[in-house]
Amino acid sequence: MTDFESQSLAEALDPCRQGSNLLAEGMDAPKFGEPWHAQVFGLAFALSKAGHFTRDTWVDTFSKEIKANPQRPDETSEDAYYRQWATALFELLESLDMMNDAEMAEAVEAWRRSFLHTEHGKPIVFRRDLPKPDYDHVHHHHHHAPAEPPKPVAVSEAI
Amino acid sequence: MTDEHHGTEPPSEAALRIKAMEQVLIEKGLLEAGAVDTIVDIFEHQLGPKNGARVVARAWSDEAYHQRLMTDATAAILELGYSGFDGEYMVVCENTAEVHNVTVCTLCSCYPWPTLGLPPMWYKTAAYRSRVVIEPREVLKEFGLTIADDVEVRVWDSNNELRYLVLPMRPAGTDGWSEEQLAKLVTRDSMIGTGLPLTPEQLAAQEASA
Repeated sequence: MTDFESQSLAEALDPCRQGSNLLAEGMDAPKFGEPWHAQVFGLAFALSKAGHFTRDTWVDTFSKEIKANPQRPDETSEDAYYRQWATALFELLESLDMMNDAEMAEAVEAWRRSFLHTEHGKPIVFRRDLPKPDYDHVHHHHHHAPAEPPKPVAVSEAI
Repeated sequence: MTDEHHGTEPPSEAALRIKAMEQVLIEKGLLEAGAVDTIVDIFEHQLGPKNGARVVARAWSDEAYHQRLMTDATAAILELGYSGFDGEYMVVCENTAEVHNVTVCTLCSCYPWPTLGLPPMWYKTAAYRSRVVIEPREVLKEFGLTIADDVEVRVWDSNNELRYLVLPMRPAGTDGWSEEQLAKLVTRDSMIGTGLPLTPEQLAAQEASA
């Protein structure tokens, strides 16, 4: 097991790119690596600003998650950070009875179907009333292969 | 198999979960539509080290402002229009010939957002958070910064209420420089304490190569 607390900073930033000059990020503030990083970051701020929890509670929840589930050997520090941030936020929402697992699963599936039912290039409109897509039928006009479950594929660039 | 003529490939499960959270909270009336985008926009376009550089340059060129900054940093930073989201207090640590200050958040990634924007990735790593407290001089060396043995290195641990901004020493050879000129010397890392401001020579070289 890797001891992340004793690594050099370059190693900690990316176990796969050791040695490159990762500390030289330039003078500007870093940008969000992926759109969902920005969204989950902004979500926690928006909810605390709206008074649903204090920054104190947030820091407490987030730091516990960081401690409980540290960076894994197959993750960059950025992957780990936003995984921890997202997990901590959902746990906090659950503990405050703002959202539960079933609601999460339903909304995730509805979003997935909303994507799959929208023609590529058109804006995605969230709909809860879409049927489970028949992938064989939706994607192929002629039946020539057994239906395969959809494979989620990240469309955003990995950093 | 997917067919590129039909449907849009959904983003990753992680991304879908975030969209789901936002959606459910908006439907329940717990979150205003657009609130998240507003915050992201502020972080992407309004907050960043340029704000901190203005604070530092003002302190270097206006002694009265410098005094106000050291006495009540939150108010002095607000004078320039920068403030936090949740009323966290700002504290300025001034570097001198005897003391070099470095900031960290050992628990997570508390950071002076109003003056520096988003923290760099290394600031959030377990390695930085634990090692800068234990062996700050070694960590600074990884940034290419060697602090002389007779200079004390002081590490400040940010938290949910207190955020630290390092006021670096004004570089030599800048007598008579305007505030705008001075601000160009101030780097993000010099306000975290893991770097120094540019020298006039370094700035000239940088501008020549740009």
